[in-house]
Amino acid sequence: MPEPPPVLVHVGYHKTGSSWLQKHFFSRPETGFHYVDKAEDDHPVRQLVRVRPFEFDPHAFRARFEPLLRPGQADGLVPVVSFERLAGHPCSGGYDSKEIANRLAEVFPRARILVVIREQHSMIVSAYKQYVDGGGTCSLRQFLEPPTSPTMRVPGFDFAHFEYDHLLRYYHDLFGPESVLVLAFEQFVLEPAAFVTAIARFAERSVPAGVVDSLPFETRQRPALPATIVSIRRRSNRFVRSDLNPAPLFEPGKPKRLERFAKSRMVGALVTERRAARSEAALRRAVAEIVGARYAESNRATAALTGLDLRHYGWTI
Amino acid sequence: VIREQRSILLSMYKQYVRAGGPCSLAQFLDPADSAALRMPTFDFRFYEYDRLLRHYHKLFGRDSVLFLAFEQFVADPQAFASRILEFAGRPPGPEVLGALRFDVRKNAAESAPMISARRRINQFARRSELNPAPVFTSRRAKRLAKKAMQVAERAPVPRRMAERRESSMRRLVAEVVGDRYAASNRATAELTGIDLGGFGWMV
Repeated sequence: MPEPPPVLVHVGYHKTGSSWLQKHFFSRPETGFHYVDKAEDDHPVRQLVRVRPFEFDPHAFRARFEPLLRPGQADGLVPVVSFERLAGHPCSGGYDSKEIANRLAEVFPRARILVVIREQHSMIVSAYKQYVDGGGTCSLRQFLEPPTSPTMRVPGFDFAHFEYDHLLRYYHDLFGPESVLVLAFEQFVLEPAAFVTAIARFAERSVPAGVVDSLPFETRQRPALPATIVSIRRRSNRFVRSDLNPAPLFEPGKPKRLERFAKSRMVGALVTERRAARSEAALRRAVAEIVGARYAESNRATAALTGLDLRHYGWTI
Repeated sequence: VIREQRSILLSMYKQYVRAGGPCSLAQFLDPADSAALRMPTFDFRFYEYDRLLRHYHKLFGRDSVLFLAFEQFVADPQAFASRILEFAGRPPGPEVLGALRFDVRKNAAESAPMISARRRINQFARRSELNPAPVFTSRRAKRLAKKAMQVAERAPVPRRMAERRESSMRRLVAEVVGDRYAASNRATAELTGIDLGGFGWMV
């Protein structure tokens, strides 16, 4: 009996089109993939991140994944485990990205790894917006420059999380360079058909041209909040308890209602287009000022590791 | 050095507030979660000592790991210090043990009412890794917060009220913890040879 095709593990990063890939590419059997859905809270892919180090048992995880991979493999499809959190989380500086890579190597030693990276200025703007969307109350500067203490209690945002070369090199060491495909989100934006074709080729699938043409590349799965709304939302978040705001000032009786109002189109409609564009530009300018050229060296290393022409996509090199 | 969980949890919470934490005790013990798994938070399993103990045994060998209970330190500090020195290959003479200041308490925990006042002040004006976005961040707010803290520190708190608040915190911790550590503590007692039950641990 031929060996089943290796699992494709898509580790993120966040804000690089993961949801689109999951919903519109990996979930369609005609692409040659079988997406292992992770909807439930206790899904093994979430547990792989959540479980404490002393409780991690690779055998138990393999046993839990096996029935989820089998249906796709039986149909000759490549099973895809895709969760952007596998690369770490920007809010906590990717503190566990190495631990997760080790766990993946233990659970899926033969896996092929897909990593999608993104130019850091645009990535950080997007990560900040996602933080506010998730309930965060920090201003941009507070988010990017979290207070630290000698006791090192809680990990916060860390610029080093977006020095991609470290994690890429680590995945190369664990799985071998030939089993790791790195693509840039900018490739997806500029040449989406070539982007998905490269993923298919890497997984030894051939996607018919008709199928590629039928993919809804124009659909945006999780559009980022406009900057003006970010500013309103981060203030209204003060009254909603979340992992990013564990102690709200007081919790109104109907926090969901407040949240819904802050998310509503009505709030968006109060802002003129010019004002929105100005806020957006100001946010981007602030990020550019804070980030400066800090990623140039890492980006050169990433370009050398991946063979991607990152400068062509506007990265600082 | 390990410590009975209900007592360490309360002590840890007080330290959390002193370090700038804005959560109430109930919020601290039951942190908000998210499916996005953004931030690590408080987890009761942190105090299942047997797991870490077993791991250290595996890494360094049983003979190279000494676990002691904080309660041993409280009950007999000289014997406690003696064990550490012997373990490090430096058996102490009586003059060494006699010179140690066992009466000095470092980082003594604050009273429950003081903790309650402090966490409110934290919430409004103390930026820390535990509260990265307080309501007010200006220098004036910081000055005011400092002053408020000094006032709170000087304010006379009736003893009965302080005791009531303290015991209500202890009760909450005991309720939330229940007997969740019993199995782990039995394993820890076996691994360390310490009579944890004798020190009031749940076993």
